[in-house]
Amino acid sequence: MIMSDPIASVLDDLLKLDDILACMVARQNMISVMPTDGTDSFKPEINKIWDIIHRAMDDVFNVIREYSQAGLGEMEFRLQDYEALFYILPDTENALVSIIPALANKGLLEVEMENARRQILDLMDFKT
Amino acid sequence: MDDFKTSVEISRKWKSSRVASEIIQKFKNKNLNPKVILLFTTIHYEKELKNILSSIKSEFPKSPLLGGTVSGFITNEGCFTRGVTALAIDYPNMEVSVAIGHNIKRNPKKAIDNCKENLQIEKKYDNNFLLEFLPTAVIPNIPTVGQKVIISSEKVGNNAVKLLPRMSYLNMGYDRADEIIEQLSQEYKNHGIIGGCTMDDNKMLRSYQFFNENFFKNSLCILEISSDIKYNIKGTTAFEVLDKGFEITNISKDKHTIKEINNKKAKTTFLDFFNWKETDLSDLYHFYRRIFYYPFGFQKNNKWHTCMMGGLWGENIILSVKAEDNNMKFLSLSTGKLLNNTKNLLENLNKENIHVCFSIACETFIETLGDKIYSYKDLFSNYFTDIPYLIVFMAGESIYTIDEGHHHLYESINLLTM
Repeated sequence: MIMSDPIASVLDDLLKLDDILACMVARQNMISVMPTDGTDSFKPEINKIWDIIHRAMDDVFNVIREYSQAGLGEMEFRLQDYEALFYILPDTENALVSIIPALANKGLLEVEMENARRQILDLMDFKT
Repeated sequence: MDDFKTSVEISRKWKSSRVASEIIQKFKNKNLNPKVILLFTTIHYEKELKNILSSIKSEFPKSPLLGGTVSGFITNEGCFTRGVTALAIDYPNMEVSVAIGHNIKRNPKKAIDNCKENLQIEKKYDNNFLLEFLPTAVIPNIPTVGQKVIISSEKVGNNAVKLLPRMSYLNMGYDRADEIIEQLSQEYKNHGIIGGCTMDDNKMLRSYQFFNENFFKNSLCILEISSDIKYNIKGTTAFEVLDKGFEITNISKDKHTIKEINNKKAKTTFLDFFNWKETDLSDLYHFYRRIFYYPFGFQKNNKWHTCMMGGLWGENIILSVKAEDNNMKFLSLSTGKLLNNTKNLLENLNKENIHVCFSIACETFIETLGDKIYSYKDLFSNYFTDIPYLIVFMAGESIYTIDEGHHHLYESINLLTM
Protein backbone atom coordinates (compact mmCIF):
# COMPACT_ATOMS: atom_id res chain seq x y z
CA MET A 1 0.00 0.00 0.00
CA ILE A 2 1.31 3.44 -0.92
CA MET A 3 1.04 5.97 1.86
CA SER A 4 2.86 9.20 1.30
CA ASP A 5 2.11 12.85 2.03
CA PRO A 6 4.15 14.08 -0.96
CA ILE A 7 1.92 12.02 -3.25
CA ALA A 8 -1.15 13.54 -1.59
CA SER A 9 0.35 16.96 -2.36
CA VAL A 10 0.63 16.00 -6.03
CA LEU A 11 -3.07 15.10 -5.94
CA ASP A 12 -3.87 18.37 -4.15
CA ASP A 13 -2.20 20.25 -7.02
CA LEU A 14 -4.22 18.35 -9.63
CA LEU A 15 -7.46 19.04 -7.80
CA LYS A 16 -6.84 22.77 -8.01
CA LEU A 17 -7.58 22.54 -11.74
CA ASP A 18 -11.25 23.39 -12.24
CA ASP A 19 -11.99 20.38 -14.42
CA ILE A 20 -10.40 17.77 -12.17
CA LEU A 21 -13.45 16.87 -10.09
CA ALA A 22 -11.78 14.08 -8.14
CA CYS A 23 -8.43 12.32 -8.21
CA MET A 24 -6.63 9.59 -6.34
CA VAL A 25 -4.07 6.84 -6.62
CA ALA A 26 -5.98 3.57 -6.53
CA ARG A 27 -5.89 -0.15 -7.24
CA GLN A 28 -8.63 -2.75 -7.32
CA ASN A 29 -10.93 -2.50 -4.30
CA MET A 30 -8.63 -0.01 -2.65
CA ILE A 31 -7.86 3.68 -2.78
CA SER A 32 -4.13 3.89 -2.05
CA VAL A 33 -3.65 7.64 -1.71
CA MET A 34 -6.27 10.37 -1.46
CA PRO A 35 -5.75 14.14 -1.57
CA THR A 36 -4.90 15.66 1.80
CA ASP A 37 -8.52 16.41 2.69
CA GLY A 38 -9.83 13.10 1.39
CA THR A 39 -13.13 13.09 -0.44
CA ASP A 40 -13.96 16.45 1.15
CA SER A 41 -11.67 18.08 -1.40
CA PHE A 42 -13.55 16.56 -4.35
CA LYS A 43 -15.77 18.99 -6.26
CA PRO A 44 -19.35 18.70 -4.93
CA GLU A 45 -20.86 17.75 -8.31
CA ILE A 46 -19.03 14.41 -8.15
CA ASN A 47 -21.12 13.30 -5.16
CA LYS A 48 -24.19 12.47 -7.25
CA ILE A 49 -22.25 10.02 -9.41
CA TRP A 50 -19.44 8.89 -7.10
CA ASP A 51 -20.93 5.51 -6.11
CA ILE A 52 -21.48 4.30 -9.67
CA ILE A 53 -18.13 5.65 -10.87
CA HIS A 54 -16.39 3.97 -7.96
CA ARG A 55 -17.99 0.62 -8.88
CA ALA A 56 -17.07 1.04 -12.56
CA MET A 57 -13.50 1.89 -11.54
CA ASP A 58 -13.16 -1.45 -9.80
CA ASP A 59 -14.14 -3.23 -13.00
CA VAL A 60 -11.53 -1.27 -14.94
CA PHE A 61 -8.92 -2.32 -12.41
CA ASN A 62 -9.56 -5.93 -13.42
CA VAL A 63 -8.20 -5.03 -16.83
CA ILE A 64 -5.36 -2.98 -15.37
CA ARG A 65 -4.32 -5.86 -13.13
CA GLU A 66 -4.37 -8.20 -16.13
CA TYR A 67 -2.42 -6.02 -18.53
CA SER A 68 -0.27 -3.56 -16.56
CA GLN A 69 2.70 -5.93 -16.79
CA ALA A 70 2.16 -6.08 -20.56
CA GLY A 71 2.66 -2.34 -20.85
CA LEU A 72 -0.88 -0.98 -20.52
CA GLY A 73 -0.35 2.75 -20.09
CA GLU A 74 -3.70 4.50 -19.91
CA MET A 75 -7.39 3.69 -19.85
CA GLU A 76 -10.51 5.77 -19.76
CA PHE A 77 -14.26 5.41 -19.72
CA ARG A 78 -17.16 7.78 -20.12
CA LEU A 79 -20.13 7.46 -17.79
CA GLN A 80 -23.04 9.86 -18.23
CA ASP A 81 -21.51 13.35 -18.34
CA TYR A 82 -18.18 12.37 -16.83
CA GLU A 83 -14.98 10.65 -17.86
CA ALA A 84 -12.57 8.68 -15.71
CA LEU A 85 -8.91 8.74 -16.78
CA PHE A 86 -6.55 6.04 -15.52
CA TYR A 87 -2.79 6.64 -15.76
CA ILE A 88 -1.20 3.36 -14.77
CA LEU A 89 1.93 3.44 -12.63
CA PRO A 90 4.22 0.93 -14.39
CA ASP A 91 5.11 -2.26 -12.57
CA THR A 92 2.34 -1.77 -10.04
CA GLU A 93 -1.36 -2.44 -10.19
CA ASN A 94 -1.96 1.15 -9.15
CA ALA A 95 -3.18 3.98 -11.32
CA LEU A 96 -3.53 7.70 -10.97
CA VAL A 97 -7.25 8.28 -11.51
CA SER A 98 -9.03 11.53 -12.32
CA ILE A 99 -12.70 12.20 -12.92
CA ILE A 100 -13.38 15.06 -15.33
CA PRO A 101 -16.46 16.48 -17.07
CA ALA A 102 -17.04 14.81 -20.45
CA LEU A 103 -16.86 18.21 -22.16
CA ALA A 104 -13.58 19.26 -20.52
CA ASN A 105 -10.53 20.02 -22.63
CA LYS A 106 -9.08 16.57 -22.05
CA GLY A 107 -5.88 17.12 -24.02
CA LEU A 108 -4.71 19.94 -21.78
CA LEU A 109 -5.64 17.99 -18.64
CA GLU A 110 -3.75 14.94 -19.90
CA VAL A 111 -0.51 16.93 -19.91
CA GLU A 112 -0.90 17.68 -16.21
CA MET A 113 -2.01 14.09 -15.52
CA GLU A 114 1.24 12.92 -17.12
CA ASN A 115 3.24 15.42 -15.04
CA ALA A 116 1.51 14.13 -11.91
CA ARG A 117 2.24 10.51 -12.89
CA ARG A 118 5.92 11.37 -13.41
CA GLN A 119 6.06 13.15 -10.04
CA ILE A 120 4.45 10.18 -8.31
CA LEU A 121 6.86 7.74 -9.94
CA ASP A 122 9.79 9.91 -8.84
CA LEU A 123 8.43 9.91 -5.29
CA MET A 124 7.93 6.14 -5.34
CA ASP A 125 11.52 5.67 -6.61
CA PHE A 126 12.73 7.89 -3.81
CA LYS A 127 10.82 5.83 -1.23
CA THR A 128 12.32 2.58 -2.43
CA MET B 1 29.80 34.17 -27.58
CA ASP B 2 30.40 34.38 -23.83
CA ASP B 3 28.64 37.69 -23.29
CA PHE B 4 25.28 36.37 -24.58
CA LYS B 5 23.41 35.14 -21.53
CA THR B 6 19.93 33.70 -21.69
CA SER B 7 17.69 31.61 -19.54
CA VAL B 8 14.26 29.99 -19.71
CA GLU B 9 12.70 29.39 -16.32
CA ILE B 10 9.42 28.03 -15.01
CA SER B 11 7.41 28.20 -11.82
CA ARG B 12 4.71 25.77 -10.79
CA LYS B 13 3.84 27.54 -7.56
CA TRP B 14 0.29 28.82 -7.24
CA LYS B 15 0.70 32.03 -5.22
CA SER B 16 1.89 35.12 -7.09
CA SER B 17 4.54 36.01 -4.51
CA ARG B 18 6.10 32.55 -4.71
CA VAL B 19 5.90 32.46 -8.52
CA ALA B 20 7.63 35.83 -8.84
CA SER B 21 10.30 35.12 -6.25
CA GLU B 22 11.10 31.75 -7.84
CA ILE B 23 11.51 33.25 -11.32
CA ILE B 24 13.52 36.19 -9.98
CA GLN B 25 15.80 33.93 -7.97
CA LYS B 26 16.44 31.63 -10.90
CA PHE B 27 17.45 34.59 -13.10
CA LYS B 28 19.68 35.95 -10.34
CA ASN B 29 21.34 32.57 -9.87
CA LYS B 30 22.44 32.84 -13.49
CA ASN B 31 23.73 36.40 -12.99
CA LEU B 32 21.27 37.77 -15.52
CA ASN B 33 20.60 41.44 -15.89
CA PRO B 34 17.92 41.00 -18.57
CA LYS B 35 17.73 43.31 -21.55
CA VAL B 36 14.28 41.87 -22.09
CA ILE B 37 11.94 39.40 -20.39
CA LEU B 38 9.22 37.38 -22.12
CA LEU B 39 6.68 36.07 -19.63
CA PHE B 40 3.80 33.67 -20.22
CA THR B 41 1.28 32.14 -17.87
CA THR B 42 -1.63 29.79 -18.24
CA ILE B 43 -5.06 31.24 -17.52
CA HIS B 44 -5.04 29.69 -14.03
CA TYR B 45 -2.97 32.68 -12.89
CA GLU B 46 -5.56 35.23 -13.98
CA LYS B 47 -6.06 36.55 -10.45
CA GLU B 48 -2.33 36.56 -9.70
CA LEU B 49 -1.18 38.50 -12.77
CA LYS B 50 -0.97 41.92 -11.15
CA ASN B 51 1.35 40.74 -8.39
CA ILE B 52 3.46 38.49 -10.61
CA LEU B 53 4.11 41.25 -13.13
CA SER B 54 4.70 44.02 -10.59
CA SER B 55 7.05 41.86 -8.49
CA ILE B 56 9.20 40.87 -11.46
CA LYS B 57 9.23 44.42 -12.83
CA SER B 58 10.19 45.90 -9.48
CA GLU B 59 13.16 43.53 -9.34
CA PHE B 60 14.17 44.26 -12.95
CA PRO B 61 12.87 47.82 -13.50
CA LYS B 62 15.02 48.45 -16.57
CA SER B 63 14.02 45.22 -18.32
CA PRO B 64 11.06 45.57 -20.68
CA LEU B 65 8.59 42.74 -20.12
CA LEU B 66 6.19 41.37 -22.70
CA GLY B 67 4.00 38.29 -22.99
CA GLY B 68 0.56 36.98 -22.29
CA THR B 69 -1.63 34.06 -21.39
CA VAL B 70 -1.14 30.79 -23.29
CA SER B 71 -2.67 27.34 -23.16
CA GLY B 72 0.62 25.68 -22.32
CA PHE B 73 4.35 25.65 -22.91
CA ILE B 74 7.37 23.43 -23.33
CA THR B 75 10.81 24.25 -22.00
CA ASN B 76 13.96 22.21 -21.44
CA GLU B 77 12.35 21.22 -18.11
CA GLY B 78 9.10 19.70 -19.37
CA CYS B 79 5.64 20.24 -20.84
CA PHE B 80 3.04 22.17 -18.90
CA THR B 81 -0.56 23.28 -19.26
CA ARG B 82 -0.50 24.96 -15.86
CA GLY B 83 2.27 27.25 -14.77
CA VAL B 84 4.39 30.30 -15.50
CA THR B 85 7.45 30.57 -17.72
CA ALA B 86 9.88 33.36 -18.49
CA LEU B 87 12.66 33.83 -21.00
CA ALA B 88 15.33 36.44 -20.35
CA ILE B 89 18.14 37.66 -22.60
CA ASP B 90 21.14 39.60 -21.40
CA TYR B 91 23.49 40.74 -24.14
CA PRO B 92 25.38 44.03 -24.53
CA ASN B 93 25.20 44.33 -28.33
CA MET B 94 21.45 44.35 -28.42
CA GLU B 95 18.90 47.13 -28.25
CA VAL B 96 15.26 46.56 -27.42
CA SER B 97 12.12 48.62 -27.51
CA VAL B 98 8.55 47.76 -26.57
CA ALA B 99 5.28 49.42 -27.46
CA ILE B 100 1.58 48.90 -26.95
CA GLY B 101 -1.51 49.82 -28.93
CA HIS B 102 -4.98 49.48 -27.43
CA ASN B 103 -8.43 48.58 -28.79
CA ILE B 104 -6.90 46.24 -31.32
CA LYS B 105 -10.19 44.74 -32.49
CA ARG B 106 -11.87 48.08 -32.86
CA ASN B 107 -9.09 49.81 -34.77
CA PRO B 108 -6.03 47.72 -35.57
CA LYS B 109 -4.45 50.38 -37.76
CA LYS B 110 -4.54 52.93 -34.95
CA ALA B 111 -3.06 50.40 -32.55
CA ILE B 112 -0.20 49.72 -34.96
CA ASP B 113 0.37 53.44 -35.50
CA ASN B 114 0.61 53.91 -31.72
CA CYS B 115 3.12 51.10 -31.51
CA LYS B 116 5.16 52.49 -34.36
CA GLU B 117 5.40 55.89 -32.67
CA ASN B 118 6.73 54.31 -29.50
CA LEU B 119 9.09 51.73 -30.93
CA GLN B 120 12.32 53.66 -30.81
CA ILE B 121 15.73 52.11 -31.06
CA GLU B 122 18.54 54.65 -31.29
CA LYS B 123 21.40 52.38 -32.21
CA LYS B 124 20.38 50.01 -34.95
CA TYR B 125 22.31 46.86 -35.67
CA ASP B 126 22.03 44.82 -38.85
CA ASN B 127 19.65 42.21 -37.48
CA ASN B 128 16.17 43.42 -36.59
CA PHE B 129 13.01 41.57 -35.76
CA LEU B 130 9.67 42.00 -34.02
CA LEU B 131 7.63 39.84 -31.70
CA GLU B 132 3.93 40.69 -31.50
CA PHE B 133 1.24 39.47 -29.13
CA LEU B 134 -2.46 40.24 -29.38
CA PRO B 135 -5.68 38.73 -28.05
CA THR B 136 -7.34 35.85 -29.81
CA ALA B 137 -10.96 35.90 -30.85
CA VAL B 138 -13.32 36.07 -27.92
CA ILE B 139 -16.78 34.58 -28.28
CA PRO B 140 -19.12 37.56 -28.09
CA ASN B 141 -21.54 37.70 -25.21
CA ILE B 142 -24.90 38.08 -26.93
CA PRO B 143 -27.75 39.29 -24.72
CA THR B 144 -30.15 36.42 -23.84
CA VAL B 145 -27.86 33.93 -25.69
CA GLY B 146 -24.61 34.22 -23.74
CA GLN B 147 -21.10 33.27 -24.94
CA LYS B 148 -21.79 30.35 -27.25
CA VAL B 149 -19.76 28.79 -30.07
CA ILE B 150 -22.83 26.91 -31.26
CA ILE B 151 -26.30 28.36 -31.64
CA SER B 152 -28.58 25.62 -32.94
CA SER B 153 -31.61 27.80 -33.65
CA GLU B 154 -31.44 29.20 -37.19
CA LYS B 155 -33.48 32.24 -36.23
CA VAL B 156 -31.43 33.10 -33.13
CA GLY B 157 -28.18 32.32 -34.97
CA ASN B 158 -29.05 34.54 -37.91
CA ASN B 159 -29.99 37.38 -35.57
CA ALA B 160 -26.75 36.94 -33.63
CA VAL B 161 -24.73 37.13 -36.86
CA LYS B 162 -26.25 40.54 -37.57
CA LEU B 163 -24.59 41.80 -34.39
CA LEU B 164 -21.11 40.59 -35.40
CA PRO B 165 -19.95 43.73 -37.27
CA ARG B 166 -20.72 45.77 -34.16
CA MET B 167 -18.76 43.40 -31.92
CA SER B 168 -15.39 44.76 -33.02
CA TYR B 169 -16.41 48.17 -31.64
CA LEU B 170 -16.86 46.45 -28.29
CA ASN B 171 -13.45 44.81 -28.68
CA MET B 172 -15.00 41.37 -29.04
CA GLY B 173 -15.18 38.91 -31.90
CA TYR B 174 -12.42 38.12 -34.44
CA ASP B 175 -8.79 38.57 -33.47
CA ARG B 176 -7.93 40.48 -36.70
CA ALA B 177 -4.45 38.97 -36.47
CA ASP B 178 -4.38 38.46 -40.25
CA GLU B 179 -4.83 42.20 -40.74
CA ILE B 180 -2.20 43.01 -38.10
CA ILE B 181 0.56 40.89 -39.63
CA GLU B 182 -0.23 42.26 -43.06
CA GLN B 183 0.06 45.87 -41.87
CA LEU B 184 3.12 45.21 -39.72
CA SER B 185 4.89 43.55 -42.63
CA GLN B 186 4.27 46.66 -44.71
CA GLU B 187 5.55 48.98 -41.97
CA TYR B 188 8.59 46.86 -41.13
CA LYS B 189 9.54 45.39 -44.47
CA ASN B 190 13.13 44.59 -43.48
CA HIS B 191 12.30 43.00 -40.14
CA GLY B 192 11.43 39.40 -39.50
CA ILE B 193 8.25 39.04 -37.44
CA ILE B 194 6.66 36.27 -35.45
CA GLY B 195 3.58 36.67 -33.33
CA GLY B 196 0.74 34.88 -31.65
CA CYS B 197 -2.66 35.31 -30.12
CA THR B 198 -2.96 35.11 -26.35
CA MET B 199 -5.63 32.74 -25.09
CA ASP B 200 -7.16 30.88 -22.17
CA ASP B 201 -7.55 27.09 -21.93
CA ASN B 202 -9.31 27.11 -25.29
CA LYS B 203 -12.68 28.10 -23.89
CA MET B 204 -12.14 31.31 -25.85
CA LEU B 205 -13.73 33.43 -23.15
CA ARG B 206 -10.85 35.79 -22.32
CA SER B 207 -7.10 36.29 -22.62
CA TYR B 208 -4.48 38.78 -21.43
CA GLN B 209 -1.47 40.55 -22.90
CA PHE B 210 1.39 41.56 -20.61
CA PHE B 211 3.18 44.86 -20.99
CA ASN B 212 5.71 45.63 -18.26
CA GLU B 213 3.85 45.63 -14.93
CA ASN B 214 0.41 45.87 -16.56
CA PHE B 215 -1.89 43.45 -18.31
CA PHE B 216 -4.61 44.15 -20.85
CA LYS B 217 -7.45 42.39 -22.62
CA ASN B 218 -7.46 44.02 -26.04
CA SER B 219 -4.01 45.28 -26.81
CA LEU B 220 -1.25 44.71 -29.30
CA CYS B 221 2.13 44.38 -27.59
CA ILE B 222 5.25 44.58 -29.73
CA LEU B 223 8.90 43.98 -28.96
CA GLU B 224 11.57 45.15 -31.36
CA ILE B 225 15.05 43.69 -31.06
CA SER B 226 18.10 44.94 -32.88
CA SER B 227 21.40 43.14 -32.39
CA ASP B 228 24.64 42.07 -34.00
CA ILE B 229 23.55 38.44 -33.74
CA LYS B 230 21.93 36.91 -36.77
CA TYR B 231 18.47 35.51 -36.22
CA ASN B 232 16.50 32.97 -38.17
CA ILE B 233 12.72 32.65 -38.53
CA LYS B 234 11.32 29.42 -39.89
CA GLY B 235 7.93 27.76 -39.72
CA THR B 236 5.96 24.75 -40.78
CA THR B 237 2.43 23.42 -40.70
CA ALA B 238 1.13 19.98 -39.77
CA PHE B 239 -1.67 19.06 -42.09
CA GLU B 240 -2.29 17.08 -45.23
CA VAL B 241 -4.28 18.71 -48.03
CA LEU B 242 -7.19 16.45 -48.98
CA ASP B 243 -8.77 16.16 -52.42
CA LYS B 244 -12.23 17.03 -51.17
CA GLY B 245 -13.33 20.63 -50.97
CA PHE B 246 -16.19 23.04 -51.54
CA GLU B 247 -17.00 26.43 -52.95
CA ILE B 248 -18.20 29.33 -50.86
CA THR B 249 -21.15 30.77 -52.77
CA ASN B 250 -22.40 33.34 -50.26
CA ILE B 251 -20.20 35.10 -47.74
CA SER B 252 -20.50 38.28 -45.68
CA LYS B 253 -18.85 41.46 -46.89
CA ASP B 254 -16.06 41.17 -44.32
CA LYS B 255 -15.43 37.56 -45.49
CA HIS B 256 -15.80 36.17 -41.97
CA THR B 257 -19.27 34.62 -42.16
CA ILE B 258 -20.03 31.84 -44.66
CA LYS B 259 -23.75 31.75 -45.42
CA GLU B 260 -23.83 29.26 -48.29
CA ILE B 261 -21.50 26.65 -49.65
CA ASN B 262 -22.14 24.92 -52.97
CA ASN B 263 -25.28 27.10 -53.20
CA LYS B 264 -26.80 25.42 -50.14
CA LYS B 265 -27.18 26.34 -46.48
CA ALA B 266 -23.68 26.45 -45.03
CA LYS B 267 -23.95 24.54 -41.74
CA THR B 268 -26.26 21.78 -42.96
CA THR B 269 -24.14 21.18 -46.07
CA PHE B 270 -21.00 21.22 -43.98
CA LEU B 271 -22.40 18.67 -41.49
CA ASP B 272 -23.39 16.48 -44.45
CA PHE B 273 -19.74 16.25 -45.51
CA PHE B 274 -19.17 14.34 -42.28
CA ASN B 275 -22.54 12.51 -42.33
CA TRP B 276 -23.31 14.28 -39.09
CA LYS B 277 -26.80 14.84 -37.77
CA GLU B 278 -27.56 17.73 -35.51
CA THR B 279 -29.24 15.75 -32.79
CA ASP B 280 -27.57 16.67 -29.57
CA LEU B 281 -25.86 19.87 -28.55
CA SER B 282 -23.08 18.15 -26.63
CA ASP B 283 -22.27 15.92 -29.60
CA LEU B 284 -22.32 19.00 -31.78
CA TYR B 285 -19.82 20.48 -29.36
CA HIS B 286 -17.58 17.47 -29.94
CA PHE B 287 -18.05 17.89 -33.66
CA TYR B 288 -16.91 21.46 -33.31
CA ARG B 289 -13.76 20.30 -31.50
CA ARG B 290 -13.13 17.67 -34.19
CA ILE B 291 -13.14 20.40 -36.79
CA PHE B 292 -9.76 21.40 -35.39
CA TYR B 293 -8.47 18.19 -36.96
CA TYR B 294 -10.31 18.55 -40.28
CA PRO B 295 -10.26 22.27 -40.96
CA PHE B 296 -10.62 23.74 -44.39
CA GLY B 297 -8.44 26.33 -46.00
CA PHE B 298 -7.02 28.04 -49.03
CA GLN B 299 -3.62 28.50 -50.57
CA LYS B 300 -1.88 31.87 -50.57
CA ASN B 301 1.72 32.54 -51.58
CA ASN B 302 2.49 28.81 -51.57
CA LYS B 303 1.24 28.32 -48.01
CA TRP B 304 -2.01 26.68 -47.00
CA HIS B 305 -4.01 28.89 -44.66
CA THR B 306 -6.54 27.24 -42.40
CA CYS B 307 -9.87 28.99 -41.94
CA MET B 308 -10.51 28.00 -38.35
CA MET B 309 -14.19 27.95 -37.42
CA GLY B 310 -15.03 30.28 -34.58
CA GLY B 311 -18.63 29.20 -34.30
CA LEU B 312 -21.71 27.71 -35.87
CA TRP B 313 -24.51 30.21 -35.46
CA GLY B 314 -27.73 29.07 -37.04
CA GLU B 315 -26.86 28.15 -40.62
CA ASN B 316 -23.79 30.39 -40.60
CA ILE B 317 -20.18 29.30 -40.25
CA ILE B 318 -18.17 31.99 -38.49
CA LEU B 319 -14.48 32.13 -39.41
CA SER B 320 -11.70 33.49 -37.23
CA VAL B 321 -9.88 34.86 -40.30
CA LYS B 322 -11.03 36.21 -43.64
CA ALA B 323 -11.75 33.61 -46.31
CA GLU B 324 -9.48 35.11 -48.95
CA ASP B 325 -10.52 32.55 -51.56
CA ASN B 326 -13.91 31.00 -52.28
CA ASN B 327 -12.43 27.64 -53.23
CA MET B 328 -11.69 25.70 -50.09
CA LYS B 329 -10.00 22.36 -49.57
CA PHE B 330 -10.34 20.14 -46.53
CA LEU B 331 -7.17 19.71 -44.57
CA SER B 332 -6.30 16.98 -42.13
CA LEU B 333 -4.16 17.58 -39.07
CA SER B 334 -1.68 14.75 -38.80
CA THR B 335 0.45 14.13 -35.73
CA GLY B 336 2.85 12.14 -37.93
CA LYS B 337 3.22 15.12 -40.20
CA LEU B 338 3.65 17.42 -37.19
CA LEU B 339 6.50 15.30 -35.84
CA ASN B 340 8.17 14.86 -39.24
CA ASN B 341 7.84 18.49 -40.34
CA THR B 342 9.11 19.78 -36.99
CA LYS B 343 12.04 17.36 -37.13
CA ASN B 344 12.90 18.57 -40.63
CA LEU B 345 12.55 22.18 -39.50
CA LEU B 346 15.00 21.62 -36.66
CA GLU B 347 17.47 19.66 -38.79
CA ASN B 348 17.65 22.51 -41.28
CA LEU B 349 18.75 25.00 -38.63
CA ASN B 350 22.39 25.86 -38.28
CA LYS B 351 22.84 24.76 -34.70
CA GLU B 352 26.32 26.19 -34.27
CA ASN B 353 25.07 29.76 -34.24
CA ILE B 354 22.06 29.27 -31.98
CA HIS B 355 22.03 30.59 -28.42
CA VAL B 356 18.30 30.47 -27.72
CA CYS B 357 15.10 29.34 -29.42
CA PHE B 358 11.69 30.94 -28.94
CA SER B 359 8.77 29.33 -30.69
CA ILE B 360 5.05 29.91 -31.08
CA ALA B 361 2.94 26.85 -31.86
CA CYS B 362 -0.73 26.13 -32.29
CA GLU B 363 -2.75 25.19 -29.22
CA THR B 364 -4.28 22.32 -31.16
CA PHE B 365 -0.93 20.52 -31.07
CA ILE B 366 -0.79 20.28 -27.29
CA GLU B 367 -4.52 19.59 -27.02
CA THR B 368 -4.27 16.80 -29.58
CA LEU B 369 -1.13 15.17 -28.28
CA GLY B 370 -2.18 15.42 -24.63
CA ASP B 371 0.28 13.47 -22.50
CA LYS B 372 2.09 12.38 -25.69
CA ILE B 373 3.34 15.96 -26.00
CA TYR B 374 6.49 14.63 -24.36
CA SER B 375 7.30 12.85 -27.65
CA TYR B 376 7.16 16.25 -29.33
CA LYS B 377 9.38 17.73 -26.65
CA ASP B 378 11.94 14.99 -27.31
CA LEU B 379 12.50 16.43 -30.80
CA PHE B 380 13.59 19.72 -29.25
CA SER B 381 15.49 18.16 -26.36
CA ASN B 382 17.45 15.96 -28.75
CA TYR B 383 18.30 18.90 -30.94
CA PHE B 384 18.81 21.68 -28.39
CA THR B 385 20.77 19.60 -25.91
CA ASP B 386 22.28 22.55 -24.07
CA ILE B 387 20.43 25.46 -25.65
CA PRO B 388 17.54 27.04 -23.74
CA TYR B 389 14.25 26.86 -25.63
CA LEU B 390 10.67 27.90 -25.03
CA ILE B 391 7.63 26.87 -27.06
CA VAL B 392 4.38 28.60 -26.18
CA PHE B 393 1.04 27.31 -27.44
CA MET B 394 -1.24 30.05 -28.69
CA ALA B 395 -4.42 30.53 -30.72
CA GLY B 396 -3.05 31.57 -34.09
CA GLU B 397 0.50 32.09 -35.28
CA SER B 398 1.76 34.96 -37.42
CA ILE B 399 4.96 35.01 -39.41
CA TYR B 400 6.65 37.39 -41.79
CA THR B 401 9.95 37.04 -43.58
CA ILE B 402 11.18 38.89 -46.63
CA ASP B 403 11.42 35.60 -48.52
CA GLU B 404 8.06 34.10 -47.59
CA GLY B 405 5.85 37.13 -47.05
CA HIS B 406 3.26 37.55 -44.30
CA HIS B 407 0.94 34.82 -43.07
CA HIS B 408 -1.44 34.34 -40.19
CA LEU B 409 -1.77 30.61 -39.72
CA TYR B 410 -3.33 27.98 -37.52
CA GLU B 411 -1.92 24.53 -36.86
CA SER B 412 1.57 25.80 -37.47
CA ILE B 413 4.78 26.26 -35.52
CA ASN B 414 7.17 29.15 -36.03
CA LEU B 415 10.68 29.18 -34.64
CA LEU B 416 12.83 32.19 -33.90
CA THR B 417 16.44 31.37 -33.15
CA MET B 418 19.31 33.72 -32.42
